[in-house]
Amino acid sequence: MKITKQLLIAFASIVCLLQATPTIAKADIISDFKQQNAAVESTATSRAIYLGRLFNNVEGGAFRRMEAMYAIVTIAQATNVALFAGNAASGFEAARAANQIFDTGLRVSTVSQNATEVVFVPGDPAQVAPQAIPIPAGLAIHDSLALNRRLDFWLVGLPGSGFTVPSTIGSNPASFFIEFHRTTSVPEPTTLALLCVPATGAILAARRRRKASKNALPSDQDLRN
Amino acid sequence: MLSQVLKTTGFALIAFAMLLTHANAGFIFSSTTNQVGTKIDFNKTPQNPAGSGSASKIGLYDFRNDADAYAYLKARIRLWVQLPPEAVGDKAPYIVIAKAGTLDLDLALTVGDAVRLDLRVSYDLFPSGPGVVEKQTDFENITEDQSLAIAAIMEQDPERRIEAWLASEDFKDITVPASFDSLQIVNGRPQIVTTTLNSTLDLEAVPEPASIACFLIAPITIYSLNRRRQRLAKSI
Repeated sequence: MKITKQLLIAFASIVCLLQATPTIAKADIISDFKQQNAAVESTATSRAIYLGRLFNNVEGGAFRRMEAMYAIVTIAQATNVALFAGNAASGFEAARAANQIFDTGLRVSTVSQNATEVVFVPGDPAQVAPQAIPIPAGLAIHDSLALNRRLDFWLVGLPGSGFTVPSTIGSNPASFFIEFHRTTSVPEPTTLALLCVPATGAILAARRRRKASKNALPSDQDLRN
Repeated sequence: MLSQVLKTTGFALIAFAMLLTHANAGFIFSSTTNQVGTKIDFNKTPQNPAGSGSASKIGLYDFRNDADAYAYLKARIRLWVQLPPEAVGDKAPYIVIAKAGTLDLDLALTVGDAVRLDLRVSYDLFPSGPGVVEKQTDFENITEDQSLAIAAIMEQDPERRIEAWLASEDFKDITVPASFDSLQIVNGRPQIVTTTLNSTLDLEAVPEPASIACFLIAPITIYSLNRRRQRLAKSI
């Protein structure tokens, strides 16, 4: 009866922890748009085009990481061009070397190769769910926002690739749009492990007590003798 | 006798004036077409099969049915393009006139199905900027060889259509878009508007030398033969 009680307490603690976690986490959506800058940085390792700086004066607040995002960019003749975000006003390669800019995981490709298109990644926000950002990149991008209260965005392709990003089209500005879904929850392995520690401890303690109680009981042989 | 001399001189003057009028005024053939925007590798070599540059098909232009019977003196073009800031001077991309349906511009230039013009579209040609802009060049002279090549390319097409390409040996990041989308934010949500783009090619031309010769020589010859016949009739 006592062992069952211990196990029940252990399970109850796990359930309570798991139940408590979502109520702590909060979600938020931040979005911004701007005219594309279109400055080009060509090196032997990449061809990067600066889109511009968004989320000026947006604070980190209680949030911990960027969970998912949408991007809408104006671009031509692109195939699997990577979108990077972080702090890189001084140049893409310098920022990447200093670990200040991070791959969001989004890849931009144009539908046709003979038009300047507005590309929605991963799709129309009204119809498609936002694309998840890898957890380390999501944490790093949010840290960068919290630290600098702004984010720089770059489109990065292979060296010598021919994609173009306009700043203007005719007399109109060519714009880009970014939407981040951010959260306070950090379901990284460490956190999950931490959640399991008290529960595992309780289970182990219960098991130990059970063994101890078994050892304390007289055996059948003892009783016969 | 004096009247004959005056008549001959007068006729020659009229013919010469006609010739000068044609030579000076010329015709401007103009064709406007939707941009195509297909981009291919250009300046390919066995060592570099991807090519050092790119060529973008601007469009397929329609001219008059007798357009192959003219000598071309000058050309200019209006087009929508995005160029890198380095595309100036000798590095500015240039116009290539090619046969309709060209797929490989390197090959077309080699076999004579395309001809390179001295007409360049430079980044610093107004309006310049890091975006898709509408540029129009000034009229640029066409050499005699280029003119003959253009006429020969026209002759290959029953409707006298020719393609214009924007070619660069140095840059791949050149875009001649067929259309562009513009993003507008309405009530905080993005909306797209698509615009189709077109281009105009102007060719200034005069009737080719053979036609000019016909203008001048044929009437004089007819007149001379007539005079000779009259003289023979008188002598009889």
